[in-house]
Amino acid sequence: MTGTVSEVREVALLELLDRVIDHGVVIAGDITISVADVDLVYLGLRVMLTSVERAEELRAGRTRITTSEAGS
Amino acid sequence: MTVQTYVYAIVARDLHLPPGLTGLGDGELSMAGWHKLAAVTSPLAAGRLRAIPEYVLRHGAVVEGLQQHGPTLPVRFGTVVADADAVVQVLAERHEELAADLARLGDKVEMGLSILWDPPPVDGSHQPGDLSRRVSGSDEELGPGARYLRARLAATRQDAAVREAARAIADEVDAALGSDVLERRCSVVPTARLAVRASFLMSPTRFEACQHAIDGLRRRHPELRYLVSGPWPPYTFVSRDETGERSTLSQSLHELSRWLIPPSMAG
Repeated sequence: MTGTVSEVREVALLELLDRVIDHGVVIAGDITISVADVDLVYLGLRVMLTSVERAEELRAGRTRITTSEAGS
Repeated sequence: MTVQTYVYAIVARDLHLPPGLTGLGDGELSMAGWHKLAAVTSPLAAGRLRAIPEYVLRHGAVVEGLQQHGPTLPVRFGTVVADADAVVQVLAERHEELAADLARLGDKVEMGLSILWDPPPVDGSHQPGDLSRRVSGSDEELGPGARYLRARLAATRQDAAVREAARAIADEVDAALGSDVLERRCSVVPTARLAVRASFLMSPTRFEACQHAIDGLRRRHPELRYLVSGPWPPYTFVSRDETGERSTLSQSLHELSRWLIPPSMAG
């Protein structure tokens, strides 16, 4: 169960990351989101996609931020 | 120790801060106002901003907590200014733009949608009347230039067909969500495994209806995977400030990437 919560949290965090780092009101500057010349959001997306493979088991799982995935 | 000001969101100046909500490092929230707008901030010691999950989640929690109490315009994670006066200066300089965004977006939410697929196999080498027909002959009979052009043509055709298929999926989502969606941002095939990645702006009262609409698409297309997230504050739909100077969080973001990326991928 701990692992399940952790995985759902990870997917929710990645979705959150995609928003809070790349979007929102810019005040006094923008943020460089690269890590070693690679876009962090892209990296996050890669992780999310691999996480989604496991998240098929988590369709009914909910965190404070709902994250759901379709599947058969 | 120098103390700076971390900014979470722009709200109406008469908003009352919700009790029990604290900022990064449990810093006390306060408001810096100008005219009808205010920025919600908390103190943060210089050099203490780190892109760690705890801080990212706290930023998101503060913005969502504010949103439950009134119209809220989310500010990007990692926004630190020297002091409250600097915040007020920004509010004064961009008051009209921010006020318009707050009126347009403050009481709205966004829904995130990623649609995963197995990209359709497309053979673009046998279309009638195309270059590949006119440049006849086997690869061995063609010169290197013709072989190159033929390969490029096939790749371009395949890419166009894949994007067209993804656009059809996106169009179907748009039709299913209908007038519940006020604005949308959509990209097709941002990666090979992602057919569509989109954000939809809507009233919070319509979020559940939109989820049900996506459920209908899931039943219709079991070959696709629909990943829905939200409701989020409308991060994606705020006006972009193209003139802002850039700052750097690369070092601290590196810490976050180590947390997120399994060793097998990080290498």
